[in-house]
Amino acid sequence: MTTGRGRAGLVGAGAIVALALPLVVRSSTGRADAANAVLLFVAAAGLVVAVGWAGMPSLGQGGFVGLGAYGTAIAQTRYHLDPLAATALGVLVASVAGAVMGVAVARLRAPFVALGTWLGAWAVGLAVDAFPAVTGGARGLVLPPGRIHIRSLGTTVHLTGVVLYEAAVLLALVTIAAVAAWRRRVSLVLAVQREDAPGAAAAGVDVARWRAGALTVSAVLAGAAGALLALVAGVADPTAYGPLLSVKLFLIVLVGGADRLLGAALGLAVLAVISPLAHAVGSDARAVEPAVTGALLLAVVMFGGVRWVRPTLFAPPPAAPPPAAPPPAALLAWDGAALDARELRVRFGGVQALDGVSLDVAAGSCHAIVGPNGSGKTTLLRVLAGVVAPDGGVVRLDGTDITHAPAVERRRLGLARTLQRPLRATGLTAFDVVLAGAEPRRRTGWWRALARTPQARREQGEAEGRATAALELAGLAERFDVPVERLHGAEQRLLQIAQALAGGARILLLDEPSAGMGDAEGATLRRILGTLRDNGLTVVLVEHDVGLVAALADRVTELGGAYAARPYASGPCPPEPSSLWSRPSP
Amino acid sequence: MVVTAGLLLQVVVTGLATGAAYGLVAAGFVLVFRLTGILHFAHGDVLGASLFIGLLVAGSGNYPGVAAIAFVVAAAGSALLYLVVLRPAFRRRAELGWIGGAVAAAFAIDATLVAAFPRAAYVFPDLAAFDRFRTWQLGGGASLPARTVFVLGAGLAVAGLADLLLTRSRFGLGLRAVADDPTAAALSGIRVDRVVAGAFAVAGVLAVVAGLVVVPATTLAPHTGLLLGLKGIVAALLAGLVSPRRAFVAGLVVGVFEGVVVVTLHLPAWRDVAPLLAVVVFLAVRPPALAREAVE
Repeated sequence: MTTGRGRAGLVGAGAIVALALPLVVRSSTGRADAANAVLLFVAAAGLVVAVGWAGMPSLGQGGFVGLGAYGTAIAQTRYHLDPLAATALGVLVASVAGAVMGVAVARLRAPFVALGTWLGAWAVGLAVDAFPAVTGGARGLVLPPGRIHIRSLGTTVHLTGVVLYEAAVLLALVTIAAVAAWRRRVSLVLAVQREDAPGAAAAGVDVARWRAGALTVSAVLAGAAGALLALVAGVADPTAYGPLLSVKLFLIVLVGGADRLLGAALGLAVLAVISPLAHAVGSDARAVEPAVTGALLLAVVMFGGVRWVRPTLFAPPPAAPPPAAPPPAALLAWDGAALDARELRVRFGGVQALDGVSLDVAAGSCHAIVGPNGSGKTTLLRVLAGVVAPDGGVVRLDGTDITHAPAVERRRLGLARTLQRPLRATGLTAFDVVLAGAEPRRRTGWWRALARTPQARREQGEAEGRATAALELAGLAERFDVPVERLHGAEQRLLQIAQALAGGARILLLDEPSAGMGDAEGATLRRILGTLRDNGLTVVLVEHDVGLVAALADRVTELGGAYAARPYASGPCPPEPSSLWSRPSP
Repeated sequence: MVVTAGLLLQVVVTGLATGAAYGLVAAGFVLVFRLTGILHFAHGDVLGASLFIGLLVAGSGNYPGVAAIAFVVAAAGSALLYLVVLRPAFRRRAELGWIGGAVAAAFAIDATLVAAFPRAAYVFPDLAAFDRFRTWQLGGGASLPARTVFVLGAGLAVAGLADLLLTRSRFGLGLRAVADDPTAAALSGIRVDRVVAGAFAVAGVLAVVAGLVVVPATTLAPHTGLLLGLKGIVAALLAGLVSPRRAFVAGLVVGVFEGVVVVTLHLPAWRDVAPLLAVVVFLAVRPPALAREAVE
């Protein structure tokens, strides 16, 4: 395993070799080929973020490359911008398109991300043919010889093959640095939502925003690569970009292992080996090359790739740092909030799931919700958490109306819900998942993580501290580096509680936390929840375990089943199970 | 240009005829999706390849021959694509695997067609010499050629037949059982793989019908099948991927929309681009329920 310093040294050595390449490669075609390979690597690196990290199978990368290339070419030929401004414009066009596409597909399942981006790439490809007056049609747009006049130095730089090659290498180095800067935070959050999007959303990760961000970043890199590709070729070539390039890039990223830059490089190497085979097949190599490449990529996906391309291949983000000495629990929020709901109504088709339910949860209390299966307990929690919009009624947090606040916003206000099921987090450790749970308390995003601002670094330290404290409180301190899929059922539930605590929960909405637990595990859960309540957190508990409810709850609300005379009844929790739970209700 | 009632009628009927072809492609796409959850990226490419192989084998003067070969190639090719390329990854629940396989197949077919048929357009035989049939005059210079009426009628008839097949036949019953719950269907003795492969074959045949009725009006180009496929996918998405029937209707709507955009707004260049951009906007604003990530 390479250490951080070893890897940096490797990249540094590689950079020096790459930058010095023009000293060895003398032919201009050789330099152009090298520049093209470097730029394809940059575009593939963008896909590593979208496909490998975020799990969004983007087939739009070729379209974004095309927008970068044509944006630059049109700015130069039609509007006579100098190459620098034109490049910036090309990148901007691709980035805006990426952001729009990102928003469009952020809420979709993976196959539809592929479909949406695929249609977008075809829109770009067909637009090139449809508007020949702008794009030059099949002939493409020939760029004027590139020159940049630098007034402050009083000199003019000619964009020769060497200059463009060095620019491509610098772009690749910036890309590598950005990916490294994002490795700790961004790749972790993206991995958590990739493995379990609903689970991540319940933990307060703004899934749609992160996904839109990932696609935008991939488009920015594609646009930059496209702009330089056009400058290197001296022409925006309609056959070079679009859906076919999308498929090529997508497949080389899959073949190499989608989650890391090395995989992108590996995939490019595979392509570099199979493309020349086309020259051996046909006399007209230029026409035959795509067909042969396509057939070979198909073969790779069918006979090798299918085995490689599986979800577990996605290697985890870098291992979590071992938690230091347990930090004080003071890192966490202990000011439990009050929650009240009035006359909540929810209807699913023909089923009236909630029929005028009201709830008063005092700050710092434990409030249990009981009732038979199908009485609407989980629905009530989902309404409180903001996942289901009620047909009527009001939800207030500390007296503020949050009925229409989205789930992510409520999570920031401290309203945290756990799921009835275990989280899916293949390859991630307990610490990773809890660290991602700290997201609602974080203010920095992609940009400040990239620039490593002091605030971003301080925040990372705080988040790691809170995650450690939360694991400690949930009794999982010893299990921090265990892969989540190897935690047993009881630990899985405690893990979600730890996630909520790390995110600054002030009210815990727990959905049957004791389900499937044995006696010893139930006792642990009871002790932990008791500690949380005694320290001031508000706990709302949906439970079937009467013993747990009697031990913890200050008040109880019973939801009636389908045949109950009244929709619900509330009261103080009796010391022993009594009238409130006996039928008919009092 | 003044838009008269006659012209409007001509635009709408022509649009419906084109739309019937899109609808057949869309119906096959939705059929496969509802059955398996697979998005058939290579749908249009299989169609294009079938037409070209038919043309190559039977020659450009032999419509029945071209049609017969195209049907066989599309049915077999589509089913084989599922069995050989998609199923291995699909069985492992490797989503990226089958997406990769599907787009690799689309890429390979498309690139092969472009390489093997370098001319921009190929003459395609026609079922009958529709040019010699009468053309209905609609007034105001607008007219309705017999070919348009034939395309619309054939599209509607085949869609109706397919609907009967899906709702009334034993095969259709099996399809619905698999769509509802593949495990339960397998437990009750349905050969799921055979049914799914059959559905892929039906989708391929429906697409070829679309190609056989609209292509003779123009010429066959390497991207003809692909463009039909894209339009079909757009229609399927706009219809929410709920049922083949709704997808067919959405195809009609896309066809009419296209006709209106091209003729009344004088924007022929937007003909292929506009539906794609529209569907991206549609996904952003109102993604179909079946496409959305679940929330718990």
